Amino acid sequence: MNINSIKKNEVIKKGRLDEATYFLSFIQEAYDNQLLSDKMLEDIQNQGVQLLANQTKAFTRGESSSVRIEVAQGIMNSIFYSISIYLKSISDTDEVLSLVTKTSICDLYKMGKQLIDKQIDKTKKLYKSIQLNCIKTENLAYKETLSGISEFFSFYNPEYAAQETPGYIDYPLSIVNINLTGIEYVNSYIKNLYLENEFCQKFSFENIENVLLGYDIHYKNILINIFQRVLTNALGCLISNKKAVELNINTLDFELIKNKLNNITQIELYQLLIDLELQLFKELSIKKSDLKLYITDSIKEIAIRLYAANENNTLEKEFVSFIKYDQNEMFQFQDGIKMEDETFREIADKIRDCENVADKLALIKNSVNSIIDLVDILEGSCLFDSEFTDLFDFLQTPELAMLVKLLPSEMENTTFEFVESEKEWHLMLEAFIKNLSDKDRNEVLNLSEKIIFNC
Amino acid sequence: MDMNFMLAPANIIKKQAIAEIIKCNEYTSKYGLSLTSTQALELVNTRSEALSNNGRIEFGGGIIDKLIKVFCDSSFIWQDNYEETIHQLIDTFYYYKNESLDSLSDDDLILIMKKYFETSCYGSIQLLQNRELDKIAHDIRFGIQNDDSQEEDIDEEGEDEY
Repeated sequence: MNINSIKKNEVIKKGRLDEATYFLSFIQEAYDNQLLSDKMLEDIQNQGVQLLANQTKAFTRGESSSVRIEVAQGIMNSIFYSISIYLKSISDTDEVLSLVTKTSICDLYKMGKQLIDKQIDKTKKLYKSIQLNCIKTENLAYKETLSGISEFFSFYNPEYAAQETPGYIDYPLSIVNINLTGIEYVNSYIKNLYLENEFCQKFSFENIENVLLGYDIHYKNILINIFQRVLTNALGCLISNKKAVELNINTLDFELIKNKLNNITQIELYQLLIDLELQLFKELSIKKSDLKLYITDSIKEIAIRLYAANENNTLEKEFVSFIKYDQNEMFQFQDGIKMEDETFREIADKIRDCENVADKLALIKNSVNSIIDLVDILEGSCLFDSEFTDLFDFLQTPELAMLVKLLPSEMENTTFEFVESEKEWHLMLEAFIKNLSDKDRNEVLNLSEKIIFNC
Repeated sequence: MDMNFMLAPANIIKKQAIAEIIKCNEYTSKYGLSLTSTQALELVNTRSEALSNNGRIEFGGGIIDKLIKVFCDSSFIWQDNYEETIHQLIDTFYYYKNESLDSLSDDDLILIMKKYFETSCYGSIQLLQNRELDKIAHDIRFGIQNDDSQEEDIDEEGEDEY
């Protein structure tokens, strides 16, 4: 028997300790296991309060003997966070116990603070590296997070708020440790983002964009993890016997995937993906163990999602086809000349004075030459109730398509989904479009998609 | 065992606070003012209650001794109303630390309280709270800069009355 292979039977199991409140949960475990006496615990508490008193005094620059409870609580949490960082760096919990009982809280805190300072420096260097290997994408959350992380370094307060995570970090990663906060969280986040970027660098940015467009035409404005979408399509390519780097799943590929996944169990699906993972690593020359591990862990979640999609017959939302915008098929819309304000007011008044809708429509037809003026009429209390429908019925397809373009709406495939709006004409237009025949509706919506509007 | 660190040494702090108040008698006796141990304990309890009511926490003895030393020479305080006035000043102090968004240091707030107590408020805690301190807190909250000439007016007004 190899004596080195015998694992120490630690009394306090690391797995039982809460990562977010490590120091406190360690003390609790130690106390519950009678490794800390009442006297020892009281001594730790007294030291903790004294440290808190000193920190609070420093926080107020000695100018205030009292603070609001939540301020003191925040400073206390910051102290615990720093101590936790230090204790977490020691793998042997028996050693941690020895430290907690023999070292002053103040010294534990100082050592924790030193580690935090080192982590801040390391994380800043990591941040520079993700700025170099970032994905070229128009996704807003990704771009804003990339610059928002810098706010963390500007506003992070390791002295009195070490546990806080200031800054704009909204981009969703494939794997996030939600139990972490403060510098630990940001360090972990940047490391994972770096790995995701590294993976995505294996593909052309154009193909990545096409995958994202295929997933959601409005991908720029939604919270979407680019890495997972790329990985999913890459795996889809492998399932359909294509090279992962191609990324596109066409109709034939999709049929092949569907056949292969027909009646597959969750375990079989997961095993299939793990087998393909080796192919993926080979094709993309992925050798680094941390990236491999990250992909493996991500595949666990992808497998669950794919299984559910397969069961619900929504696999086409997971394995997407490219949507390419051919500039030749886009229409540049140039609006007509907007009326002068006084002229507009006169026309609007005349429309309001009309006795019937036919007269209103005739006036609009003869006087309104720009979409912007038309929208002003729609919002100017010139039309009421069914008169909106009469107007929309009166308009040609391009005009309807333009109005749809101007709505604050999201479109999902060929359905017309409306985001909240206070404007009556938005609601009336939505209802009008929904009541059109499928053919007419598709015509309007497809045309609307192709319009590039300059006004 | 309670893991709440902030509750731990309340008794120690209390004893220390009482001792500090009693020590003040050495200074206040020349103004004919003194407090017994029982009265000191009552003041410390008022302090604890005021802290609790205002959602605040204090380490160490607190500000009672400061309040005593600043107010003991007041024209409006004598032995009969000494204890009661200090109780009210303690309540007032912690309330307005919150109301002023902690932007005033302990010393500054106590000096402001003494100034208006002694002049425009004529020893009235109610006037001090509802007129002067409310206005100061309001100005702080809304970022209104206090005009120095206003303070001069208060000084002059006080003088005119005599």
